[in-house]
Amino acid sequence: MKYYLNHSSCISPQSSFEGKFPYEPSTNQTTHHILASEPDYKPFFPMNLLRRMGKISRMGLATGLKVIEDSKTDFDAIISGSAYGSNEESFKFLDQIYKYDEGPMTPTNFTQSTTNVVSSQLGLMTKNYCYNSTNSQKAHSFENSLLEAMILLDNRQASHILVGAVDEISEYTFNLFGLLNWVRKDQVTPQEALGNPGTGFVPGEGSAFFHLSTQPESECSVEVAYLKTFVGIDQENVLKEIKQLEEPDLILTPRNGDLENDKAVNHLIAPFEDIPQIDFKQFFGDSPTVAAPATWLAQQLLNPAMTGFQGIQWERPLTSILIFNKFATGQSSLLLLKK
Amino acid sequence: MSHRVFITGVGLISAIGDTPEENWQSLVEGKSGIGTAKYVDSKLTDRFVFGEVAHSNEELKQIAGLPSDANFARTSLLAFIAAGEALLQAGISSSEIDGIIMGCTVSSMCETQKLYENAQGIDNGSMLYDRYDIGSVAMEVSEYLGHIPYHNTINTACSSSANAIMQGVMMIRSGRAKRVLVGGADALSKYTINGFNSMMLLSEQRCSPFSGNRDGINLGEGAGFLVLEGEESLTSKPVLAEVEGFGNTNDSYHATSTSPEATGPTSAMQKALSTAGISPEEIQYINAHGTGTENNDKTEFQAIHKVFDKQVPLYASTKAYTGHTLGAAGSIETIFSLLMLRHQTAIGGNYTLTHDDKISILPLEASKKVPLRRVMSNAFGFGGNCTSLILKAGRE
Repeated sequence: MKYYLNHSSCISPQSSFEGKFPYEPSTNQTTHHILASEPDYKPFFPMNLLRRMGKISRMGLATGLKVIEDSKTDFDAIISGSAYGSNEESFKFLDQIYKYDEGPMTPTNFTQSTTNVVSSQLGLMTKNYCYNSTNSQKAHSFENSLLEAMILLDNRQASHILVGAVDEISEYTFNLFGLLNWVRKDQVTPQEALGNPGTGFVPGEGSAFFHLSTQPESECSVEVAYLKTFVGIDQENVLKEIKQLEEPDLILTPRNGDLENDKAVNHLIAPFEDIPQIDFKQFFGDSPTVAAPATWLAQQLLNPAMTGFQGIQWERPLTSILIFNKFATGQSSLLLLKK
Repeated sequence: MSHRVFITGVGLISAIGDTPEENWQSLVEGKSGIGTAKYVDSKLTDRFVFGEVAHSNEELKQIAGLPSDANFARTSLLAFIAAGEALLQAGISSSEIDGIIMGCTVSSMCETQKLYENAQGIDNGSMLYDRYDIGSVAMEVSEYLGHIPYHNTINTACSSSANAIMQGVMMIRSGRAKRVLVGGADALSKYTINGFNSMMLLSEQRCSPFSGNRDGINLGEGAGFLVLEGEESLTSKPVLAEVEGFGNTNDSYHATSTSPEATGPTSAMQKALSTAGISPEEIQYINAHGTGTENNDKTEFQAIHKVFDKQVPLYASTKAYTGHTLGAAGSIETIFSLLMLRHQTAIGGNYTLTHDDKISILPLEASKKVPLRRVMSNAFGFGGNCTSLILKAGRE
């Protein structure tokens, strides 16, 4: 069975939702993290609803709804991934618990804080009564969602699947990252961090959704030719796995300016230095579900009209891109896309 | 590619026992685990009753064979115990397992006070900074058991671990895995207790699902794990049951309540019947989601009535024994269903039932010996997530 990513949509620190190319260095840099460039949501949600929505809902629902709209497809499964869900809503509810000392409180933050809020709201808003699921496995939340979608196709339990992932950088997440020493202490952009490695990364956020099916459905369709996740010690096998794959035209690499991470990446990718590489986290910042925007980027680069990107030129259209992801949780993944 | 997927080992810890055997003993004796909670840190334990596991974290560490200074939250400790039991019964080691897929909604968030401080950037030495997220428990279970190469966690609220079982079955059927460890775990926490209280869904008495006098949920805690194996990798192994049918649908009506037409629950059960390729009369018992809320029970009964029409099988909810264990409920209740098949005994709620106009056929009150070939297990969650599973006895 073959699997194709068709229409897609992405909200990220770049103007990706508007499909703007090539990338400009982002202007959404705050002190230590890089926020999503959120679009005008008015076409998607009534104002009264928008005011009550958390960021993860806004980003996830807008990208999901855009794919539904663009693809003009009746989806029979909705699957999303998120490592942290709505940490912002969780913290608001926690704060209520302590502020009111477990007294009466409003349930909105609690019900909005469940990780399945994006998948279930997508179902609710589009009156979709089909398969609905949410995966939350740290830095494999997107990859596992894509795998779940593929398994669903294997089992012929669905034929058109809306699949994606979303994560936000709330103050809560940022604070936890800080306690883990995961955040760059100097105020640098993700691009600057790459040229000047130190300790930690620049956290980012975003959302990307895709239409997955067993047939190419549009000009933008790309095949998911290979997907594998690695945890802990198995990450050493990344090298062996890449060697067994057909040589890709381009590798999207997970360097993020963190010395330790970049050293590990350099070690794993060293035998492939003849293959052009682009460090994708410079565009999005780093996040456990950054593989979703990276997949969206790879799909754009496989567009036959693209002749180059970020100083790399190619003579003929790219036919395959390998996305190599690695995150601070000790998780890596490989995803090979083919035109 | 295996089209048939079997259960070869189970592990279970809940308010009514530390092992599947102890749990079964409590079920047949009608012994409920609902009572005053001793260990969870919440003021609301003065008012509401819960299905709390009868051990302190220190005792749980001992049961799990961990040193007393091991730093794990309660959810993880419960998961370790149940996952270890499941592997032991299946007679396999973690190196023979291709993946762990579990449901969870609370994770290390059960350490609510520590989380509240850490989330504000306060370093209180909890060392749980990267373990409050939902996916942490699966990673910890993998490390506790040895090493499992694939980890996944599903959070579809109260149907999470039913979906974990379903995902495991589909993974084996697709040929992507031979053996998977599936299940769920959740501990009681100040966060969820206050969450359900803010929605005014908690009961001050032992819950009475489907009864006219029902007035809400008892939250519970626990963990249930199952080893799933494809037919080809079974060889001559003893089999506990087969996962024959599964259905996942969405009610798409409201974030926290079910539709008056019972759309999601009805279609989940119908889907499970169709993947199993059987007709409704081939089900002898339904382990209902039955939370004890006005809304769930009315809708679920309506759905059962729609699907089974004039032949509604025996049905009951086991939540009056364990409480609602949230992310663990789907897997714990699937194991209960399996035990009913093994012992050819239908478990009743063991509480006095009063009439409700909306529920024309009352659930089973007293447990009884009865021939059981297939049992259906339901799990529904916030966000409209509805999942129904069908287990078949043995390996015929």
